[in-house]
Amino acid sequence: MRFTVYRKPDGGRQAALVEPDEVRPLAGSLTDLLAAPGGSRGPVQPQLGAPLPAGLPTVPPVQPLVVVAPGPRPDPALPEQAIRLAGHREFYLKSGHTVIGAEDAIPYRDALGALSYRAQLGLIFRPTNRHTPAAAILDRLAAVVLAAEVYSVDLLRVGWEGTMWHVRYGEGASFDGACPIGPLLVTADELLGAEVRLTDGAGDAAIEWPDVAEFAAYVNEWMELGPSVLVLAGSRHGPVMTLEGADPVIRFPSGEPALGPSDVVRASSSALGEVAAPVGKPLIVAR
Amino acid sequence: MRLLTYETAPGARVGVLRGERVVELALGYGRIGRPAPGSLDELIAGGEEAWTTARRAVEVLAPEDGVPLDGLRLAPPFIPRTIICGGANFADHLDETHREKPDHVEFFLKSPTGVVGAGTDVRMDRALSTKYDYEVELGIVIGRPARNVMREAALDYVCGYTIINDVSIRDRQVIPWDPGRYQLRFGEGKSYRDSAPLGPWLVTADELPDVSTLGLRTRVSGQLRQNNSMRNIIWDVPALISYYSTYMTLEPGFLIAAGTPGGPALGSDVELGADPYERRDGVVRGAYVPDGALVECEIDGIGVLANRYVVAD
Repeated sequence: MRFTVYRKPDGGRQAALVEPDEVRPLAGSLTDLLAAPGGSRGPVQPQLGAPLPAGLPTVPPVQPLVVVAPGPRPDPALPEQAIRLAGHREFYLKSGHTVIGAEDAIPYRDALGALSYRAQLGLIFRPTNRHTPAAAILDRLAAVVLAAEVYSVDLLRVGWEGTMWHVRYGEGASFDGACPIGPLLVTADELLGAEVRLTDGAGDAAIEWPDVAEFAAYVNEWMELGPSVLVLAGSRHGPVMTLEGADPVIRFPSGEPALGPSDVVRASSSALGEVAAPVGKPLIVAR
Repeated sequence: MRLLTYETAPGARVGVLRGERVVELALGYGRIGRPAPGSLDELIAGGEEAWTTARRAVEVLAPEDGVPLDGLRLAPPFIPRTIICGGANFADHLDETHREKPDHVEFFLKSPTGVVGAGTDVRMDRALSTKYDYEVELGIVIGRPARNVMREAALDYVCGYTIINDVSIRDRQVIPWDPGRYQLRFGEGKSYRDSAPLGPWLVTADELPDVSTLGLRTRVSGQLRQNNSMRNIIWDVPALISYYSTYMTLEPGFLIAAGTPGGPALGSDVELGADPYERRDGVVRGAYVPDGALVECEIDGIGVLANRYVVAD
């Protein structure tokens, strides 16, 4: 099943089932539907109303409390020993408030510098205890959504504190509008195991489901999953963690898009729809 | 006002602390003929108008209306919509971990899904970590949307303060890189089950007009492990709000954890790069939190956030 959520003229939200020839409103919220023990395939069946008119604006189909994303992949050109160091899988958090709708504007700030992004699968799980193995984690997947993970090319950097370093994910990837998602939310049964391709400004790639499962299981070692946690599954052609001499650095692919005000973050998938989020004008300083 | 959330059989209730007694806030709203917020989250989201009504509701309450605090099961006062952490913010913590003052405010996030209230056990999963640590931190609660806020105006956006224990699993946070150098992974090190004890209550900003001199302490099973003052913070509360609001809009219900002073067990862990220099302030260097230990995080003017760490699957 495919769902979306509309912004009603009174500012409220209306979840809806998207069918080939019509869109019908749901009686409840998508979050309630996904949190049910069987998810959208289980005992809870959507209660549908009369068809909705076309052209209503959409909002994010889910509003998670937190977004969990994978850090940069290790540079495959590194020697094996360096890959061992650079290649530790890492996850980082983005605020749930970075999530915006597929066509919402990303509020630009001068402090962000140049922006770039990658299309990723956004995973929404049914309530899931920790330590689910990779072989079983996708059985708990309720639905997926298209996400454009936006980051600052200028700020997503390694920061040093004497002998210790970290990647500056806060400034570099958790700013307003840094996670446009939607417009559709598609139940897992429609997609699991199928070829799903994602396209963004850097290219086109098929989803590798074993990689998706492995990362989700990794995150699940730490936290219980459910509709309040949106897991981004990563991209095969994003920035990489590499070395300059002995120092870790993030390297962006050549030709990395560098977006600013009036540019548009575009990602698409035939299975999941299109994100087309314009980068907005700079914010005015409040005080 | 000191506002808290406590569990009852029908569900959670918002209360106000009057001496050693807790009065249900809804009682006051009933007396002034106004609908009560369903949670402290809702009150915070309501902004200044909601706070004005809350003050009126509290004025008509007396301690006799309440029940003893002792014996109540506390929940987190509210669930922060986002938790922003400012680490590397006390010189003694930097010194003991061989770190230098960074040229920018540290900025990472902690998952609100790990929030638990005072008195709730912190469950230690030995499959995840054998190095569970503690970090007492001032929790700054945002009350108005704040974006691009100047330092001079930053406190206008604060509705209150609380205590957060930034529970950290060091063997997942501090990763040996090459000799003498380490990677910090704030995702793995800071966000998991029960990683954010919060409370015991929220103290409104009008009761704490100056947090810049408050003392912070941590005791582990009675042993003093952290002991410092907000006087020694590197980036103070206005600086943190101003910095973070440069990158993202701080919404009502966001919580900023202001950073922790020296004394966590990490500061004694030579394996992870520590320099456990001798302290002269009564702080005892110690190991990671053992099964069954009571960790008490205290901040002057707010109270004590106490949680027992227990090994659990």
